[in-house]
Amino acid sequence: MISYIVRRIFQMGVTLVIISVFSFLIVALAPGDPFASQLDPKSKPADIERQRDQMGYDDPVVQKYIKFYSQFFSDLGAVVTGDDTHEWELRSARTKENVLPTMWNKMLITLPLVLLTVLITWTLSFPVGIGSALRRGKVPDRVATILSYAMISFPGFWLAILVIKFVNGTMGIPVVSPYTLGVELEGPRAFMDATWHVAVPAVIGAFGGVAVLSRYVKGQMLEVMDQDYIRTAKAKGLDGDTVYYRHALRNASLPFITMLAGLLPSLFGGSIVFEAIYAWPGLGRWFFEAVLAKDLFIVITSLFVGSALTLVGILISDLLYSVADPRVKLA
Amino acid sequence: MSKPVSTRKPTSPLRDALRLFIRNTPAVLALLMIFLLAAAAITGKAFVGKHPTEDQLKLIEKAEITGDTVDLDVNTHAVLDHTKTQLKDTFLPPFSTSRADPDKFYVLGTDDLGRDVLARLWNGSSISLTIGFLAVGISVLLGVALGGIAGFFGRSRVRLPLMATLLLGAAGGVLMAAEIEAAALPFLIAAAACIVIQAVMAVLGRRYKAVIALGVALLLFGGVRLYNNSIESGTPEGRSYSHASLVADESYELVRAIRDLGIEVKLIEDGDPSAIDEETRKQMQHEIELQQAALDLLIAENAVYGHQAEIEIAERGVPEREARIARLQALSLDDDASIQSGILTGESARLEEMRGKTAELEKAVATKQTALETANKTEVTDVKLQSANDLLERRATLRKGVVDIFRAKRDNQFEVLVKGKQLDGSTRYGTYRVLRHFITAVLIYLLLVVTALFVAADAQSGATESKNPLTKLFLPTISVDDLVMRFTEIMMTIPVLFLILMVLALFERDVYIVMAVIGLTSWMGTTRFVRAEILSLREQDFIQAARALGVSDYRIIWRHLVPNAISPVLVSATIGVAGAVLAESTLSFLGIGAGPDQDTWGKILADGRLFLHDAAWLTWIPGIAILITVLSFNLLGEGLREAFNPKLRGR
Repeated sequence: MISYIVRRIFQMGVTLVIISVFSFLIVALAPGDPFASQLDPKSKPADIERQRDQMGYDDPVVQKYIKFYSQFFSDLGAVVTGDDTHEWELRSARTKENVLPTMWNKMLITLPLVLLTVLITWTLSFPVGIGSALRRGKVPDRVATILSYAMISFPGFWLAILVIKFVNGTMGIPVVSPYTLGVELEGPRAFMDATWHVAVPAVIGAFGGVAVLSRYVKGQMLEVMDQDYIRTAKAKGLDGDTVYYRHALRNASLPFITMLAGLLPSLFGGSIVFEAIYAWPGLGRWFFEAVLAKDLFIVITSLFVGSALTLVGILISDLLYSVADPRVKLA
Repeated sequence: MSKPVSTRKPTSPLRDALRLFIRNTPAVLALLMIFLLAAAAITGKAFVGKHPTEDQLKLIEKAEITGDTVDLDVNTHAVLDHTKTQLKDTFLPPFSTSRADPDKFYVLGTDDLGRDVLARLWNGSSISLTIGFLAVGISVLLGVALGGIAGFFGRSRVRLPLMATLLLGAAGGVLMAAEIEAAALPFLIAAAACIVIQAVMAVLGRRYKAVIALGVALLLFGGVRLYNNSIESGTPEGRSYSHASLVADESYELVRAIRDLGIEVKLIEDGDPSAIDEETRKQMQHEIELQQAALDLLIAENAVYGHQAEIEIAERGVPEREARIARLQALSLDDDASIQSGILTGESARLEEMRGKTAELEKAVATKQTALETANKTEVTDVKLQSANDLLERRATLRKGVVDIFRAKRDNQFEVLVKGKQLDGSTRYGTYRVLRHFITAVLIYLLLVVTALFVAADAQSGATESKNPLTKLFLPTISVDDLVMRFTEIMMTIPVLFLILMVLALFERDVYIVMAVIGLTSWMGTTRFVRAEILSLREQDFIQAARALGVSDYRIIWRHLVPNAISPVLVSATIGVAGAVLAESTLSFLGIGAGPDQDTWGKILADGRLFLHDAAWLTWIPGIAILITVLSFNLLGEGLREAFNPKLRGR
C-alpha cells in the first residue's frame, strides 16, 4: 500500500513536471508582449527597459521557468503552513496582487456555488437514475430519458441568460453577482437574497450534470441487476427494496467513487462559464479575466494547481476504491 | 463501411443495424433534421439577405451622390464597406440603433448593426456545422491513430527520441497553425533533426522501409513550412489579406466602441434627465457635433482613398487594352479593334470623370477638416457634473482615437482597397482563411500519422532491441503502449476548459483556431476506447487465425480490425459533433471564439443578449438552433449506438 502510494506520487511528480513545462512554454512563447499594457505609456524608453529588466521579461525561457516555479513553491509552502510573516514572491504584474493568497480567497468565494451545484447534481441524479432503472421501458423511464437528452443538449449559457431574464425580469428578483449590490439588507431578507443568488447559478450549473449522471446511474444499476447474485437474492425470496437497495445499489455505486476524482478540480474550474455570466467573483471568473488580460502568472499558476488537484483527486479516488471494494488490488 | 469478413451469419450485421436504426423514430427524425441543417448550411447564401429595405434604398441614393460603393448584402464580410457607408446613419446621434422588429422583408428582424437575423443565422449554420465536423474530424483522426497504435503495437518498444519527434512535431504544428512562425520554427527544426538522426541510424541499420517513412515525414515538414510561408508573406495576396483582416478588425472594434458610447449617453439621459443641466447639455451637444465633424472627415477621406484605388486599377488597364488593340490591328481584325478602342475611349472618359470627382472629394475633405478644426477650437467651459465630465473626456479620447486609427491605416487601407478589388476580397476572404487553416491542419496530421507509422515500422523491425550498451544508454526505449497512454493521461489531467481558454486567449480571435483547439483537446476518450477495443479484438480467434495463416499486419488492420472497431468510433464521433458545436458556441458566447467577420450561433446569441428585454427573439432563435442541432446529433449518436449494439437498448 505505502509503496504503491509512493510510486504513484513519484509518477504524479513526473506528470506535473511535464505539464509545468508544457503550460509554461505555451504561455511564454505566445506572440505579443504581455507586459506592454502594464507599462506606463508616458515613461521614457530607458525606464521601460529598466522595468522590463526588473520583471525579467527578456531573460531566457529556462531562467524564467526556474524563477517562476521557485517563487511558486516558496509561496505554496507559506500557504500550506499558514505562515503569516512570509513575504509573498509571486505577484501579478497587472493587478499587483499576490497570486496564491488571492487564489485561496477566490476559491473560498467559489466554494458555496460549486458545493451546492454538486449537491444538487448528486441528490437529483441518484433517485432519477435508480427510478428509471427499476421502471425500465415504462412511462417514468421514457420521460426521464427524453428529459435527459433535452438537458444534455441545452446550451448552458443560453439557459443561464434565459433564467436571468425570467427571475430578474419577470419575477423581479436580482440574481446576478453573489448578493444584491448597493442595497443594505439584514436578517432573513439578507439570507433570502444570498440564497437566491447562489441557488440560481447552482441549479443552472447542475442542469447538465444531472442529465449525464442520472443516465450513468441507470446504466450501472441495469448492469448490476443483470448479475446472477441479484437473481439469487430474488429467488430466495427477499423483498424488492432489500434486493435493490442493499444488494444492487451498493455494488452499482462503486464506480461513483471514481467520480469523486472530478470533484476536486471542479472546485477550481467547474464554473467558469456560469461565473462569467452571473458575475460571480470566484476562481473561474478570476482566471477568465486573467486570460483575457494575458496575466501570465495567474494563468500558469491556475493551470498548474488545477492539474495538480486533478492528479490528487485521481489518487484519492483510487485509494478509496480499493478500500471500498476488496477485490481491487493496488499494483 | 465494408462487411466484417469472418462472421458467418445468415444476415449481415450491417443490415441488422440498419433495421434496428430505422425502427428508432427519434434517431431517424434526428438524421432528417441533420440533413435539413446541412442543406441549410450549404444553400444558405442563395436564399437570404437579398432584400433592400428603405434604409438600404436611402443608402443607395446617397452612394450615387457621393460616388461611394454600397454593399447591399450587409451580411458579407465587407466590414470596411459597411463602416464607410453606414457608420454615419447607424451610429451617430440621436443614437438610434438600426435594430428592427420582424417585418415581411426581415422575417426575424434585424440586429443592432442592421443585419438580417435570418441571414446571419443561416450563414451561421454553415460555420457552426463546419466547426463541429472538422473538430471531430481532427479528434477522431488523432484518437483512432493513437489508440490503434497503442492497441496494436502496444507491446513493442520504441526509442525515446521518437517520442521527442512526435511531441516536438505536434507542438510546432500547433504553433504553425496558429500562425506563430517564430515560435514554431525551433520546434519544427528540432523535430526534423530528430528525424534526420533516426534516418541516419536507419540507413546504417539497413532498414529501408523506415527510411522511406522518414523521408515522407521530412517532406511533409517542409511542405507545411513552405505552404504557410508562401501564403503568409511570400505573396502580395497573403500580405494584402493580412492587412485586410487587421483593418477589418480595427474598424469593427471602432464601430462597437462608438455604439457603446452612444448607448451609454442614452442610458444617462434616459435614467435621469434632470441630472444634466442646460449647460452640460450644451457641452454634450457640442461634443456630439465635434464627433460628427470628425466622422464626416473620416468618411470623406475614405471616399477619396476608394476613388484613388479605382483610378489606379483603371490606369493599369489602359496600356493592356492599348496593347490588345495593337494586336487586333496587326491581325487585321478591324471590327474587334474598333470595339476595343470604343471601350477604351469610354474608360478614359470614366477615368477623367473619376479624377474630377476625386478632386471634388478632396476639396470636401479640406472643408470638413476646417470644420473640425473650428469646432475643436470652441472653448469648453467647466462641466459641473462628474459623470457627464467623465463621459465627455472619454468621448474626446475616442474621437481622437478614431482619427488616429484611420490616419495610421491610410496607406494600408489603400493597398487593401487596390488588392482587395482585384481579388474580390469580400467574398474570397472567408474561403481563403478556411482553406489555409484546413490545409495546414491536414498537413500536420498527415505528418503526425506518418511519423507514428514510422514508430510502428521501427518497432516492428525489432531493430530497437540492441545489444550495444552505448545504444542502450543514448537511445533508451519505451513500450509504445506506455508512450501513448502516458501522453493521453497527461492530456486528461489538464483541465480542458482552462487549456482551451488559455490557448484561445493567446491567439487572434478566429473560429478555426477554436476548431483546432477543440479537436486537439478532445481525442483522449477516443484513444482510450479504441485501444481497449483493439486489445480485446486482437485476442479473438479470427484474428489469431489470420495471424496463423500469415496475413500481414496491415491487412489484418484494414480487413479485420477497422470494420469491427468502426461502429463505436462512429457513435462517439456523432456525439462528439454535438459536443463540439456546444463548446464552440459557448466560447463564442464568452467572446473568445468567433472572429469579427464570423457569425456563429454562439456569437449571434451573445450579440442578442444586449437586447434580452426588448427583443428576446434575438437570443431565443440562435439558442433554439443550437439546441436542435446538438439534440439531433445526440439522438442520432444514441440511435447508432443502439443499432450497432442491441444489448445496450434502454441504457
